[in-house]
Amino acid sequence: MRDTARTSVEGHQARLLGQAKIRMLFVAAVFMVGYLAVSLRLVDLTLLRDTQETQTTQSAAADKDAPRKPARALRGTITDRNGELMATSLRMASVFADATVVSDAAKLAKQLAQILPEEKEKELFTKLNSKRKFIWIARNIPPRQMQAINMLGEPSLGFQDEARRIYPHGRLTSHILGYTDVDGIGIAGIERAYQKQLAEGEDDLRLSIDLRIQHLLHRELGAAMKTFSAKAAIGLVMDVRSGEIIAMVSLPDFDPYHPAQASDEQKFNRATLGVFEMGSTMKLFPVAAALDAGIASFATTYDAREPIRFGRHTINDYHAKRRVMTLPEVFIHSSNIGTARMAQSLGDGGLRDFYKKLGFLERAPIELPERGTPLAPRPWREINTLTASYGHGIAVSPVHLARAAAALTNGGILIEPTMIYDETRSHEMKGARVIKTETSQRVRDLLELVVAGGTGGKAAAEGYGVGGKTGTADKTLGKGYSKNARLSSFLGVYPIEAPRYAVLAIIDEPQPTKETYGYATGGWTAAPVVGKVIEQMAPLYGIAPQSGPKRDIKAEMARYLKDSKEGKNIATAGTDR
Amino acid sequence: MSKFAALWLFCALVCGALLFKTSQAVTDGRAKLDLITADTRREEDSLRVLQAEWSYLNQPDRLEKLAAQYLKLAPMRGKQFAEAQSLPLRPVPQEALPENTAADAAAIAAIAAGIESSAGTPETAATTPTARPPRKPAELRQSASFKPAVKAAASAKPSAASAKPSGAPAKPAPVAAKSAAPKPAPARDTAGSPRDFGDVLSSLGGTP
Repeated sequence: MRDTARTSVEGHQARLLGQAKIRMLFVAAVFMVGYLAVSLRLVDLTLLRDTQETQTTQSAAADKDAPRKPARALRGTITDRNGELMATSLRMASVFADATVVSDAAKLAKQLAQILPEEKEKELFTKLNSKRKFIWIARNIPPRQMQAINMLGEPSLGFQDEARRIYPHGRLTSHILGYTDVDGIGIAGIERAYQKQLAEGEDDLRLSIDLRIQHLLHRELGAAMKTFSAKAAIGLVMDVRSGEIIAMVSLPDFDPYHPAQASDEQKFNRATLGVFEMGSTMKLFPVAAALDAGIASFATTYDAREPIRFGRHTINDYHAKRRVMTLPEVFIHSSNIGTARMAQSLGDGGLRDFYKKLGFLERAPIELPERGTPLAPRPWREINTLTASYGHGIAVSPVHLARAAAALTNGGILIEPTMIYDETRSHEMKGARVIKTETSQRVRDLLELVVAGGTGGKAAAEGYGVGGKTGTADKTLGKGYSKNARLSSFLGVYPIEAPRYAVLAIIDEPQPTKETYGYATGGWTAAPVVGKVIEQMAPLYGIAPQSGPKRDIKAEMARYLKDSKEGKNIATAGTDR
Repeated sequence: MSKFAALWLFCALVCGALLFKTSQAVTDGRAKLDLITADTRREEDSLRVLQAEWSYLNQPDRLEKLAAQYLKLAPMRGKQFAEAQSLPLRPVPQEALPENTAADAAAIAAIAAGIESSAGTPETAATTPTARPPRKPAELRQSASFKPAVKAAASAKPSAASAKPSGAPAKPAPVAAKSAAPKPAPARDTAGSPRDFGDVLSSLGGTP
């Protein structure tokens, strides 16, 4: 037992010794491996690699954190239908200084003043001399200036990235795009409507707007506004088959870079948010309703000899003919009495139902957040039917009007207006049918007649068949209507044989001029704008001018027109209302 | 020390070395990736700047002013379009009839068939006195006064017409006019937008 115990003790000691040896060896090996690795790496870095690569490795290690962090995506870009850039975000640098380490403030201030033209040398000097640890020198400087400052190699200066929203077309697109706040969050227009998508910044947003047409409309409306010393002007160009808005102008507009400095008047998008009593332009709708319901034809006559008295109200014509008129005559002479009688013949709530079908009683379904709620009488009494027939007592937005006009002329389908480019829309023509295809043809005949021989003559574009309706509404003034403040409008559609575009121009409070013989009606102020826009727009869109024998709408309609004479206009531009 | 231990030690050494090398490779690769990412971002940023500048320079308003200043071209108008069918056929000169009837007929047919096909006709038409250089449809459409031109060509002597076709009056203002640059190079301020895009960008600075 003892022997075995001793041997076991000796065995135990030997085992311990062996264990210790192994441990020592292991530790030594670990250290050897470590040193070997270090020396190998040292050889590798100093002897085997060339210097440049070493440097890049070092510098990359230095700003390891900066690029690895996924850079916050810039706000998405917005383009027009042709891919022309309308809004983008640029990364711009802001320069700051650590004034505690500035060695020669005077010299640096001089250098900086040369690079940054907006900054005064004196102010820069005080900033650089302030001994403050952090002070802004300039915010959002363009890349070229940043490059120049970088080249100074001044250690006390630093840059910080900031995103800046850029609108290359400035005012031209101000109401469409809207603007963003300091943090780049959309506050108005498309910027607000598509805030989520744009903030993710992945895909371009392609609008239905065509910048060329936008410019045409903007230019012509601006000129008209100036000529007639008008308060405001509104323009819309809409594809009648797809509902796409090709151009949308609301004047006055604003500088999207400084929205805070713009007045409310400037920021107000009249084309979608504003609702107006449109006046005679609305006569199109009761006429279409009567024709579609089959209760009227071109031969139907309306007694406009006497003003209509209804309670306290009297409905009168501005240029009274004081006779019985056919439906086309009522339309081209823009007779309030005739239109009111027509609306009456539609029966109880007939006109209201039709207006409802056209979407006049609810907000227009368009992407912009600025959508005006129409003002319609509630409850709707019979007198409302009478006045609403000639566009008084009901206020809708210009988008409503253009959309409804598109529906009446495109074959009878009411299409949702859109600001987003979508090729498929014009093929499908998705929407509810509001009138029959044949009625749409009748409506086009009437519109053509107004331009060919009626109040809309000034909208005629040489070579292109244009149809349209003028309107001049007295603006409400307190409880009554003003005699001097009007809203003159023209709603045009072309080519009238197979309409593709609706062009709407509205001039707010135009003042008559000598050239217009003292008139400031839709026919004199808004119609020429539409004519000019169509004339310039059609060649851009490859719309061929009318060819072959021209249709003589006046001759065709002569049997419905009492006072049509050869070569004489039936109604002149001044008489429209 | 057992053989086993030595083997393990060796294995550990090799593994350690390999691991070290791999980790170094990863670090290097990551550094390179960072550089490339940063470069890409820089390029993307400058691309955006250039796109914005391009769009700024392409403001319709500016282009319009520049076009008015440098080009002798004007926007097309509806009345300047014409259809091939509505063109009057040129009367065939009597003396040319006997020998060249066939060629004339071919030329007339080519004209009547549509100006678009004119590119193929020169070989046959050039030999005849009636031949004029084929005009492109665009020229025809743009020239508001093509009628007098047709008349002039018709009245020209056949021999002269064969050598130097008198189609010139019908040509619209040549686009080459822009290279002539008759006006002194104007300052940027007078042409189109008064400001450089860089100025626009820098003017944005300072705003909150």
